[in-house]
Amino acid sequence: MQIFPRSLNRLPLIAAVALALLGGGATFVVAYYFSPLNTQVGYAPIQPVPYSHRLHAGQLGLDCRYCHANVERSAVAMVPPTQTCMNCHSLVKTDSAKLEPIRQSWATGKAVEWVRIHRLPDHAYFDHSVHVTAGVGCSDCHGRIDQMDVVRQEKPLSMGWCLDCHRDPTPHLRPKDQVTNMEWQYDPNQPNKPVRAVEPPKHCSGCHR
Amino acid sequence: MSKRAPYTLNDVPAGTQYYWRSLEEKERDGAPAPGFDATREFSADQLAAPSAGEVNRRGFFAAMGSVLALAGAEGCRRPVEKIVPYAKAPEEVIPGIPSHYASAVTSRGESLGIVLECHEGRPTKVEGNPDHSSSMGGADIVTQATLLDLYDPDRSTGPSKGPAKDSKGTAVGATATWDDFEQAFADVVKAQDANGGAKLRVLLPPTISPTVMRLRAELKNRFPSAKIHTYAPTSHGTALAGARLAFGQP
Repeated sequence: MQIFPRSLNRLPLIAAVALALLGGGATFVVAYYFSPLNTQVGYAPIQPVPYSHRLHAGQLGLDCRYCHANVERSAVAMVPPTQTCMNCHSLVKTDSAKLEPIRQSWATGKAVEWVRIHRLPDHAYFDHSVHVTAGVGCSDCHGRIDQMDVVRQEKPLSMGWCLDCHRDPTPHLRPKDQVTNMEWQYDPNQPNKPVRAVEPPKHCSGCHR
Repeated sequence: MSKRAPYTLNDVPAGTQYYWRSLEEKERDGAPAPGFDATREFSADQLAAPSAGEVNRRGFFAAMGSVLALAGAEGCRRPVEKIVPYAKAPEEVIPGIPSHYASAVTSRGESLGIVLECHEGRPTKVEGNPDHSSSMGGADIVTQATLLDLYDPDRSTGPSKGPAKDSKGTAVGATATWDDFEQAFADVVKAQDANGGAKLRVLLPPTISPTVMRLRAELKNRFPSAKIHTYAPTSHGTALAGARLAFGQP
């Protein structure tokens, strides 16, 4: 005695295909939308002072290291103290309303609280000086900052992205004088001699110290 | 005030005539006289408006509910982190690289040469100074722990008058200024000069400081009958005595 119609024989097949499609879809959605490629790229918070890198670094041609001075010396490339801003702005645009927080900070000695954009988790150790002295350029990891009015995160800074370079560093190593040149492009036909022999760690304790 | 009691009857002027609205009310209250205490109608704790700091049950659950709702909403976003640089950066400080300073710490009456590792001006580690004869590169656990003295929230920041905490542990001593101390000590000096300091007691930790030794001698000269007690909560007097036994000198 047949309870179910014959057409239902297709059901397992349809269910399997649907499940596979759904599973694949869900996997893709999670793998993209939950990954740093989506959650971190594009983060462009509003800063307390509307400082434009496009004006200062791009148009005026300030070198990255004038303000972020410790990038070749220390693990953290610091954000400049108010003193660095006042080096010029005690003479230039002394009445600008946009610079009011800077003048306030200089007068009272209270620091300006910038919003941090590029942040690695605490379990990953990253040292700026090692990378910069090896010849990795600023724009390789931070993108074209000199074209941004508001700094946004361009690269995901995820572990896979770091490993991509650690496994093949040659396209990202530049001659030492090109490190802060934002427009430098890698030319595979003209291999650059790396600044020094690099051995980027690919094992776990290279970064998870 | 709450949704159940949008107004309180305290605002109604005294002498207002009240009318009963149900037989139960009439039975309960009788004919209300002028001057009737209208606040009887509401229960006592509804009317007790919670003062700042006290929360009645209803307010507490309302607050908890709103906190729960808001906390869930903000947990989805990336937390805002700040980078706070200096306003006027000191010269030798490089954030991320520790700087080392040679210093000395007095521990148990001795002074030990140490090297302090400082991150951005904040000392983080004590090590012995290899060039100093008293430590020769080593630092025992008590010396290493003196680092915490710098960050102890109970550390004394100036002279204090009276005991810091009474027998129950409540903080009672008020921080005084050095002027207060000089004033108080001047009174003591006047009082004690009469009998040569028979009632004066001074409590000091052990020290090798020449200045403190000189001051102790001066105090003794001025008040011959005063007693100066030396006390240290942790001391290695037994270790010194043992070393004397073993080697003839500590």
